[in-house]
Amino acid sequence: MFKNLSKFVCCLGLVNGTQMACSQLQNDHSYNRMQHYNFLSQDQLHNLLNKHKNLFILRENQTQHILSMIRDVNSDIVTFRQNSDRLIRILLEQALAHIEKKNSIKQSPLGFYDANQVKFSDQEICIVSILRSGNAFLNEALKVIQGASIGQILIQRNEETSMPKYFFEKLPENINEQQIILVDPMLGTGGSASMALKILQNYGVKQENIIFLNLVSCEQGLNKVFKEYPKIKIITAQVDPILIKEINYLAPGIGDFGDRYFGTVKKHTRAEQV
Amino acid sequence: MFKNLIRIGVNLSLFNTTYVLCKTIKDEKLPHYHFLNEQDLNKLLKKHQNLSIIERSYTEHILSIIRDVETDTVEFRKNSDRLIRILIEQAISQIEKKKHVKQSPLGYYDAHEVKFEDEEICFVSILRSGNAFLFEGLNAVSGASIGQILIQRNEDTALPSYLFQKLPSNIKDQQVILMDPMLATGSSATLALRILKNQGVKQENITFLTLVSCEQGIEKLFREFPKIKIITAQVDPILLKDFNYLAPGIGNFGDRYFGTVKKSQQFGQQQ
Repeated sequence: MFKNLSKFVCCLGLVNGTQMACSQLQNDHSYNRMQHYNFLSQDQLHNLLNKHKNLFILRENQTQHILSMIRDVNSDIVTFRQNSDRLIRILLEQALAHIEKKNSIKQSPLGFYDANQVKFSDQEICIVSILRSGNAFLNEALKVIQGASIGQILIQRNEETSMPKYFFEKLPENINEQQIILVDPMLGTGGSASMALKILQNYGVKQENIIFLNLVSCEQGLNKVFKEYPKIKIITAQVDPILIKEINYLAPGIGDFGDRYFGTVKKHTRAEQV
Repeated sequence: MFKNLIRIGVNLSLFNTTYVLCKTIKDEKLPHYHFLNEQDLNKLLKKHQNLSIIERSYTEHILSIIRDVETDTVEFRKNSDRLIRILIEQAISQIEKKKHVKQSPLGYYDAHEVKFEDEEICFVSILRSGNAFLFEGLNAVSGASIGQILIQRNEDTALPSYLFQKLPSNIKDQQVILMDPMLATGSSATLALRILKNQGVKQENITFLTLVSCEQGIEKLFREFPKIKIITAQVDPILLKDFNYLAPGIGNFGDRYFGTVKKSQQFGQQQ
């Protein structure tokens, strides 16, 4: 019996050893496959800002700690949502700071002062979200601008061709008179954003009245959108260095923002679509 | 009958004119305050390296609504919360960060995260008005600990008196964010900072958040506690000497936020 036990233990030991060796190999292999991406330097960012006068990038120290949690593949859904909401709130306040203001004189409990308020009432502001991921912005948007109207455009990217396809829209009929805040978390190729902006243009919305918000973007996407719509404003939290050509992913990116925010991540896929 | 109608008409118009005149005279008694210009603000920032004033374009439209005497409680709270959230995010972005490498779905990147856990951050509010900051504070940092210090200003002497405190026992190990909406003379804030010092909290670990402040208050705090950080949304030009009110100010922030404005009072006390 003792001999059998020792045979058994030897076998277990061999199985364990093989498993460890295999997983070690697999890890090494996967580490080698995955790159370390370095963010753009201050100079590169300055060049970008000089090139596009209507581009605004949030200050790094304001956003890097929040974006770190969002990018991290190990962040659970609660952490992901909380940090996304915080960043979205910061972007929305920035957008409102850029909308035209009007001067007036108002009265505080002690005296008169020069008041500078947003020129438009809540109802004259329209948040247009590019479904599905853009809808993540609506939670915080309605906290900040309770009376805003909401427009929705459904554009989905064809997984093989990476071309955007238009499905559906629901916009206020007087949208051509409104201040638009267009929202979509990622700006990759700029294909979906371009299509959405075309739809807004067809409705008679002027470019100067559009502010486009996104969490993470890249130079190619920004170049494309500004080439076709030079007068809109774009506010982004961070510009990623790479757009991976074959699959049109931002790197390091966030993964598929919509899947991560709404909790529909497919378990077997490792890298997701933007 | 026609004559009587004319008489009534004339009387009414006389009455109306007198009313308009009186109202104008009454309104003229209230002065028009002008905010500090860019130069004055820059001087202030150069003088105090640990002072941060939030960018004007970010806050002036929100503050305009908060200051307005006609703003109802709902709008007051909503806009105060928005401004408080902006201040808190600024405070957190200034806390020490640590760098390490993390993995996104596509690869590795340099992560810069706040060095401390939620629980190592402590919001200390100077009751009662400071409590308004706690709602948004917990929205931003849901695991933070909360400390409370009750300081009330004596209405006759205008001097602050300390009444009560409840602070975490390990507060000297924490990053403290001290909160009070108004910074006027700075005497309440000074008292609170002394209490924190007695508990062993280091100045470098304290950030003081305030919506509206004035130069005198800022100078007093930095003179006694030069190593703390102060973040304010706007610096008002005047501190009215007799009443120690900020002008144009907000009025009594606590009364307006918590809905306890006395109807007879025109303007309330400030800290």
